[in-house]
Amino acid sequence: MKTNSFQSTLVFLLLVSALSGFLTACGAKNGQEATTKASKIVVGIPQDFDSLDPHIAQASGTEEIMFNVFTGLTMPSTAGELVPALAEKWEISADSTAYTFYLRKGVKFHNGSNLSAADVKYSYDRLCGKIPGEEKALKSTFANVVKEVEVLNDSTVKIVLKSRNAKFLSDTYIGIIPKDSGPSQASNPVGTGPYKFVDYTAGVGMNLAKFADYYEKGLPKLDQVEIKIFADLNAGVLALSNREIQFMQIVYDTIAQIPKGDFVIEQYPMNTVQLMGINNNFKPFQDKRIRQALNYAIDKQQIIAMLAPGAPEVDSNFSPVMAYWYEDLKDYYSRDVEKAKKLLAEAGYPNLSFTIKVPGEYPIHVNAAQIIEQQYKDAGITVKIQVVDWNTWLTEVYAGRNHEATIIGLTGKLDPDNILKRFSSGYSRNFINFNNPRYDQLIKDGEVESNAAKRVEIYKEAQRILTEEAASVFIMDPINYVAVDARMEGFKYYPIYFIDLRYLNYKN
Amino acid sequence: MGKRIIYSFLTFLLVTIIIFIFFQFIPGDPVLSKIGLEPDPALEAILRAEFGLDRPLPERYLRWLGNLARLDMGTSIRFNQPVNKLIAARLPNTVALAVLSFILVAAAGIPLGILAAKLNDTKAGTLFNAITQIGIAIPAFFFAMILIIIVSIKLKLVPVTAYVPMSKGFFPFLRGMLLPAIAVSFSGISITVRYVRNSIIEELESNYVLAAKNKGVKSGDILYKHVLRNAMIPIVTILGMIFVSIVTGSIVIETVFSIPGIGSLLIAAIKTSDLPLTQGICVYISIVVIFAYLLLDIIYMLIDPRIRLKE
Repeated sequence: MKTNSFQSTLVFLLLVSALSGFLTACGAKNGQEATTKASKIVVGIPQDFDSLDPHIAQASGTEEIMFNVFTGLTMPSTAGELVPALAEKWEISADSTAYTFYLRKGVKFHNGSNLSAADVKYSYDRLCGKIPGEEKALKSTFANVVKEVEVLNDSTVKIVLKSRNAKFLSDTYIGIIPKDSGPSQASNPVGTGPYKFVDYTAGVGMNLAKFADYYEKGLPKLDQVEIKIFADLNAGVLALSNREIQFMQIVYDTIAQIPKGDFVIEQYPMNTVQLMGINNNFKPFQDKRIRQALNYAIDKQQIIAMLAPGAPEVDSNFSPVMAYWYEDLKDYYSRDVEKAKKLLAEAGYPNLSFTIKVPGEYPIHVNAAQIIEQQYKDAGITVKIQVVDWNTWLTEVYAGRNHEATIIGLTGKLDPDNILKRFSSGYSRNFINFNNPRYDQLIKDGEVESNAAKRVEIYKEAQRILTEEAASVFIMDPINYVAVDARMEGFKYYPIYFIDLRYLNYKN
Repeated sequence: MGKRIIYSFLTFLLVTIIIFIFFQFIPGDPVLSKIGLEPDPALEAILRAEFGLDRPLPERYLRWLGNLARLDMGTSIRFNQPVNKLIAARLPNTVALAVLSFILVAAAGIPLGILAAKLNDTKAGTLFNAITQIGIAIPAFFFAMILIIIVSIKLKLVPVTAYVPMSKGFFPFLRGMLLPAIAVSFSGISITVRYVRNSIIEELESNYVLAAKNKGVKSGDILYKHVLRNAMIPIVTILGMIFVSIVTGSIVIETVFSIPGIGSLLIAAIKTSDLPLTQGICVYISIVVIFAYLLLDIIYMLIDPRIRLKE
């Protein structure tokens, strides 16, 4: 028996060593191939693309990557302003209903054809559903606003609006595609961006290659981009710490797992407002005093310190990142538990109790709910937390408005209308059921106001109303954490979803 | 056999109806899921019409069934691509992972089980028992994480995202599948080891072994020529069950290793209420399970010809 067990142990050891030998042999060959090539970057993203067609894609996760494939007439700057892109300049008619765009000369599409006014007309007609064979409007933002598109000459195009619309320009970053390429865009996207599409595997990722004829000379810096999808954030973080990825957005909790010397963690406010949206139709919340009490009972600085240190606090549905439009209402409600108790007692709800429905996919919102639950105990408020999945949240809470309160992040846009109209009473996703006639009027006025200074005043007043009426509890502009390989330079951040790959390069 | 096929088909039909009905009760709307936080009424209407979501439920089911008869499973709402194409692109990965895991289970489980039987009542045997106990108890995804940390991060033998499509070479593909396969098969191996061990020990105590021993047959001959064959019947049964659990177990493991397989596709489909895609995947899984049990029956017949007589 002794020899027997010796033999067996030997067999077992051989088996193990053979297996690890196989792994080593393969590993040595292909190990960390991606990181040694100096002209390639691997970008990790958390979700798959919803569509490669720039006129159908809706997810900001898709848009932030495809900005590198498609370029619009305009594009956002790092300061959140609109700057010329395919259009060198533009003129707005005196009554603000017609926009004439002068196209940049010598711009090429990835398929080799030259950009002309006909391509712009095709793209906008397609969005509005005016192309034979594609008669359905793809985006209401254009279909409801654009009357017609005229080609004035090869490099000049005039877009006539149905009526005055101050935010139209901020939508013109939408990608321009070659004439008649619509039906094939979903499988073979063709634009004018710095990177051209190579291939896409659903669930795996996408490969992009430098577009040599990109209109900005010297850009992009890198030859190849690989986009890898990590449905599981933990897997992404592991790949990151193994330096298989050079660029990935991460969450605060995972920073500690990223090797310090290998990566730089870039931090910047997201231009997103995290809020506890309170349903203004829910019986107790119909009383403004209760809504105010909820604002007095919260300690935003504690939430920030625990979940996103350094994040700007907000007091209305607007991030200070958009400084030009921002109304500073800081400390309008600073924590005052006694005052909160008093307001609750006055309103007849000394023992207020309600449920927060929160999407489980977003730890920052779930964690915020738990902190709030504790903080509210001080004011005698009982909070129940119900975690739902994202899809349920979208259907029940966001579209169905079936909730008492919820925590969510609303992303910032280039134009304040897109941010603040969310709470106008007629908006289909006014999930907090905010209803204020003056507010509605301001949103209507802001949409057509062409005087920039007056427009700023309108939106500042709208922000004030949200705060004064305690429409909800606005918490913070969370911080975006991006892990960037320490060997790289040229990282730029934008106040909207845009991963600008053009300037990224390896340091010499 | 004919009866079995009819039963299989009915089971399959029932599965599709259950999924279809079940989907009506779980919250979530595929179109709302697709358009997310920035709703657009125009796009919403297009999508509802495009995927026939504006039609009544029975009509949608019958239409789906009709299309299925023509081997068309419709278009995925989430991915805007034909369900067949999505599944075809991912099926080889899942099948490869399952087959490789299964080979590992059989190739490691049976010899190790024999070894464990031989080591019975020794200290090494006790250690073996402890390891297999851990193997059964440890969740596959947790074991996968430990594997990644040890093999990829500490030893740097393979990258974390080792997956390479088969089109880029069979061996790189196989290398990418190895770690996930180990993760999937670990519990299967442990179960197999225990079954083989117990089954052999039981057989070794039976009368015919005693008779053979008394006749002076060598103990190796007894084990490999007589005992093993008889011990195999319950082992094949358990292997069949393990195969099904491998197919379902790979659902979680695929996500951990970022392998684009049927499992990760199914998770994406359910998360976004993508009914056509979910249905399509379930059809495939049903076919795999039915096929696995059919295969099991054939293997039974090969091992023990008497089973054929029962048909």
